[in-house]
Amino acid sequence: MLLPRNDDVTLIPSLADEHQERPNFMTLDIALANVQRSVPECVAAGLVDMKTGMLLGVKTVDNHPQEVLDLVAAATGDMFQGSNVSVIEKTFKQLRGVKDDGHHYFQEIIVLSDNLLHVFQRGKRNEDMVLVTVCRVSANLGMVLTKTRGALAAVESAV
Amino acid sequence: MVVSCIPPPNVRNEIVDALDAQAAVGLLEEIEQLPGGATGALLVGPPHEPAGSVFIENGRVCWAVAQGMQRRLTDLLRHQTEPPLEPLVVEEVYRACLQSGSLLGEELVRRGIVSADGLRRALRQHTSEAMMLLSRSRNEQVPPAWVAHRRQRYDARFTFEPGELLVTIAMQRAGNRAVGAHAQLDAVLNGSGAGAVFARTAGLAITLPIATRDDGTIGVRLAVELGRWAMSALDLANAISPGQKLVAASTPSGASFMTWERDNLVFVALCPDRMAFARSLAKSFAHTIEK
Repeated sequence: MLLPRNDDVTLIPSLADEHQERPNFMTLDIALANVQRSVPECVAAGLVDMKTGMLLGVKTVDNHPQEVLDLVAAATGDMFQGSNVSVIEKTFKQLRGVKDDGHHYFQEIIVLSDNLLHVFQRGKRNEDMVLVTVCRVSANLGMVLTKTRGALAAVESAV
Repeated sequence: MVVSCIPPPNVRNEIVDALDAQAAVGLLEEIEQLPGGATGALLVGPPHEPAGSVFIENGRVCWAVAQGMQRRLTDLLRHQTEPPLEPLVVEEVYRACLQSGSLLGEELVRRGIVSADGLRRALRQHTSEAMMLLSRSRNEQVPPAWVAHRRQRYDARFTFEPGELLVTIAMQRAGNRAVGAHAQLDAVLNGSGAGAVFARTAGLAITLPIATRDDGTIGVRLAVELGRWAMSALDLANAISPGQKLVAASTPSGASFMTWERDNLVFVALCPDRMAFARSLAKSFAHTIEK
């Protein structure tokens, strides 16, 4: 069977498209892997696009069922954009005399449970992107926050 | 004879059952939105036959009354001492008040028969019960009529913020669960920021705060919205990962909201800056896991 040489890839449209897209996917993958490596006791890191409710990328230490990952992606949207959140953001802005310019008030959400610590961080460049980092609850919270805040820009620029 | 820490006589069940939480919040919000110096009365119910009135001086609630509460204040005042005051004692002071034009409660304090704290507690209880009864008569179609007046006759010490009355109303529903909620919240806030405690109560359309620690931030509307946000955030967190929960949301300025649940009570803390957030986060996390 005659296979195209590497140089010929650009001549085949479908493979050429894949070649164009692959660097971005790879970069996000690497960025998330870096988050997982640098954040203490990290078990998962993912990037959620709240506009579509989709998980753009995820790195986990174990294989997680797709339903669990989908649930986290859906919950991320509700955490930041649920109707109760919008109302409280608006009320609080009014009470504090902050001008309502449509800018979202909640930037970072932490969820602590019996076993896990979830950190949800809204993107600085694109507010619809949220970096979700999950660690064991025994991790040092201060270190987790410092490391995830430091990694946010790199993950965002990978998209 | 002066005793200041006596619990009020039991609230009649029909008053607690009469509570329409949504309407009570609406009424308190209307009062909260009055201009700062507003002085007058809100007449609740049909204009030709009002179900009761709420008297306001300088935007604060002095007194409210609803049909069927004729002897309730006397009853509450009598129970501010241990043993309770004899009815004749109160009647004698009442007669003197009729002649002098002074207010019964304030005259009881002036004579040293009831403490200032006791009078405040009795008035707050009475006003809250009236609000609960009036909530049934509040009609969206016929909003309460505002009758302004200039005369001010109530001592400001014995007047109330709408938020304070909201908590008193919620406490009637929560019963014993409210005991100790304030102290637990204070332990986490440690003197900075504001907060509220909510009880998950079956049968109420909205969640009302049973305790608040206010730095001037939390009014009726924010308190109710905080309750809604806290319940939904905790439910959402529970969907992601079961077990004891704490959810914290922070803003770019460092001001943060935090909620956690313990013993069926939902706590919310508002931290003004990053330092207060870090301190409260550590304390509230310890509070969720210590048993």
